[in-house]
Amino acid sequence: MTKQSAINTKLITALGLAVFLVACKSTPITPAKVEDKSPSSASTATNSGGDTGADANAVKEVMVDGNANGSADGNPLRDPNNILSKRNIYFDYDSDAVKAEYRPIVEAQAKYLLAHPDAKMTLQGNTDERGTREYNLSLGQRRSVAVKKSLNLLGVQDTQIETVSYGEEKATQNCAGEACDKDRRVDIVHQGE
Amino acid sequence: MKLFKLMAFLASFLVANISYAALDIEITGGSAQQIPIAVVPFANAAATKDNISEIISADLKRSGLFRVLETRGMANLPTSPAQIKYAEWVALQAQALTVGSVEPIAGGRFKVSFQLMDALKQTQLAGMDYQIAPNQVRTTAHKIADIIYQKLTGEPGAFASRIAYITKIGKRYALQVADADGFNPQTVVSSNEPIISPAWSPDGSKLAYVSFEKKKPIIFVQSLTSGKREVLANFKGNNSAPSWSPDGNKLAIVLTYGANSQVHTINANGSGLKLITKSNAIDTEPVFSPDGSHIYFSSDRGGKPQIYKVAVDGGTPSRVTFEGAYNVSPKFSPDGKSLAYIRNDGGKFKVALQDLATGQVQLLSEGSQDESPSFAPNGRVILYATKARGRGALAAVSSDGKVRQRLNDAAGDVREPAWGPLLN
Amino acid sequence: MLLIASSAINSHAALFDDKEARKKILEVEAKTQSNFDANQTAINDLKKSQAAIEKRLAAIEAVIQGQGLADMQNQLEALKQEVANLKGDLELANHHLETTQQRQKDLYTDTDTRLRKIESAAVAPPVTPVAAVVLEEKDVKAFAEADSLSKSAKHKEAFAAFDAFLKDYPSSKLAPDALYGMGYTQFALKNYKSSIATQQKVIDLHAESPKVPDAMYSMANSQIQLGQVTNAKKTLRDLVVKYPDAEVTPNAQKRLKMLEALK
Repeated sequence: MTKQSAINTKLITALGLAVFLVACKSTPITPAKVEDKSPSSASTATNSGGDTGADANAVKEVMVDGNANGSADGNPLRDPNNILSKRNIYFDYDSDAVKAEYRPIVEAQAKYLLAHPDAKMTLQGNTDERGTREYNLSLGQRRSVAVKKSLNLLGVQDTQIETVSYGEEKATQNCAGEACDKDRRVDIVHQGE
Repeated sequence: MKLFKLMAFLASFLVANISYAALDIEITGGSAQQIPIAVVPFANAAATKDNISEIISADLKRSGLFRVLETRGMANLPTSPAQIKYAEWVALQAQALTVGSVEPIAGGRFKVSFQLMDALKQTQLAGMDYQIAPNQVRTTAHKIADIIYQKLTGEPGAFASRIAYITKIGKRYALQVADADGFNPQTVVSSNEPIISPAWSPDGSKLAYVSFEKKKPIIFVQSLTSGKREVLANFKGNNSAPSWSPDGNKLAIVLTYGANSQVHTINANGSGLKLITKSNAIDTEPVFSPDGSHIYFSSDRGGKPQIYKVAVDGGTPSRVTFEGAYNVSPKFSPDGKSLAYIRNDGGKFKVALQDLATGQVQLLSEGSQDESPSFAPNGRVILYATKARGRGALAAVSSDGKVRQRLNDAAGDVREPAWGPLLN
Repeated sequence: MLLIASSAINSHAALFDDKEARKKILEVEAKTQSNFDANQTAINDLKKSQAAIEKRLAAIEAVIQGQGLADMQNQLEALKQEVANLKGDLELANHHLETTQQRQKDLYTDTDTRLRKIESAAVAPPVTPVAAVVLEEKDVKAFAEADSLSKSAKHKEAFAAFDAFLKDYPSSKLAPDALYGMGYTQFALKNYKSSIATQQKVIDLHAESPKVPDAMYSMANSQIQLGQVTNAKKTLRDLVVKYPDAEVTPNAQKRLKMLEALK
């Protein structure tokens, strides 16, 4: 038997196995979809596996999807001519200092929050992809905290701000040089956006 | 749609087992003294869709500790000890051989028998009978491979265990579990937002993980069999880096509120939250020592990220790593004697292994963006994430650094591997 | 005000005459005027202080809006980083100190045990057994046999054995020992002249050997037996001067004193 034909045989076996998995779908895999709002895929919901017994390794799948995408017109936050629509603050490599050039953005956001005591915002920290995911999550957090502190100094209370981090999860894949610069940033997101 | 991806994944692993290196499991290096063993095709092996003898052979080969002998040219292929002509196998330099059979029985089930024989002494080293459903062939093959491994190396095997990992295909993230050989992948949870940091409960029944589905990191715990998922931690700020205590009662997690990452512990039912580290630096990636007495974590309290340890009830942390300017993601070997972690070695992120008694460190991996080390339950192999041709892939290295493997998923990115406990 | 005045006039017309009424009106007018003046002053004061407050507020706002606080925040963060770096350096220095101390301790313990071994070994010279263990070779074995014959006073046999050894293994490391051994057996067999000749060979052929002082001592003993006191004294004097630390030196000194006392 040649190597090539051996591989073909295996491929066919693999396909066979996959078909088998489809056939037995209700047994080993019971997918469940959890949807927030998206109406298109309301519920393919849970098929409570019951006592299919046999395979202790069976795994039930959960799907998590959708999110709000509200849109408010005439909102200064969305007006491209308003500085409030500028939402990215960029950082130097290995730094979490808010640079002077982003001060107008921070001040505008502070003014908005002080004028709208019910408004709430989330600061999302980001890093480039170098390093490990969890550690980068913490590094991104440090950046969002730095922006929060700048807002605090302008009188904004912590109750209006949540600091979170995406770490490297939104980073450019295989970035090099200046492409990585865009990854080191804090995104400002207002509630409901 | 998803099943097509699944097929591609499966197919790739199967091809790999045949030996086409460029595609999936690449094995490089190998133990100097491999045990020569013949896995004689089981009688009636074609009766099941998964070929049991081939799965056993592949397991043994992949461990790097065995030289699996070619049996195709042999005139006599015994399927029970009585049929063995030992001289032929000794001539082939086999130290041991396995024979066995598959036999259909009532209810669409199968009876699988196998014997492991010492080729020189002509004695039986092990023998088992199993009555199984068709979908248990792979698991049974892995259990047999574990018995062979244990009998011939004196150490427990880890073939009958599972791995968890994250795939990213297009914009879709999925947490999957598969057998230790990459077969039989099943999706645990999928989302359009990132999923990271899967962690097995010590009994292998649950996975804790971090999901960004609510636009921020939240920790979930999900039962694999029922699919029931519960929020473990959703506090203001980040909730991340879960890891279980050895008894499975507690988890170490990282919370931020409005400040930097700090290590906390929380009961598995979500009660009893306790702050463990108190610094204004980053404290993250906590793991329990196997004896449950300490929590090891990465921290930049000393300016650069290093690994520290603290008593499980809190207190003053002390530093564990001293070489290099970036050591993160600590993971304990199951015997608690060594610590694997990621070191930035001149701009290249590699898996390092530190002997905790002597402090001696060995760099095990060769990649430049390696992360998420995870020990096999027998401590012989460390699974980790690497980059291959610009994409996330999984790789494994034996804990002595001699055998390396790479597992690629043809469909997309694979990352964040976590090796689960042994199945009983 | 006029209204108040007129109503006062109307209601109290019966009680007051015009003069008195006019007087009252003037009084009221004066009082009102002074109240008004007081109010006006108070208002002016308030305006002034408000202006002052506004000034101060503006100053505070300037502080907040200005780069000052932001700079301070950045400086604080930089300081925190600096402190962390120092902490890290300290951790590293402490670690190095600890490992160095441990290594020093280990080294001391190791040296101490080794020294103890040497010190205790000095009491009973282990030369032969150690050599026998280390080099289990033919020459070693042959030497050991000859030596043990000599020690059990089988001098003839020992002589033959040493003689054979020197023929079989002329370049052995043990050759000076064998030669010395042969000289010793010759002395024991009272062949003093031969013994002197043999020991002279040790001295001439193996000048670096530790056996030389032993050979000289043995030679002196033979010379004494032959009555060559002057030669014996010279040999002993040479021995004491050249090898002040040799094992036989104290004995050589005693013997030398004895010979000198004979005069």
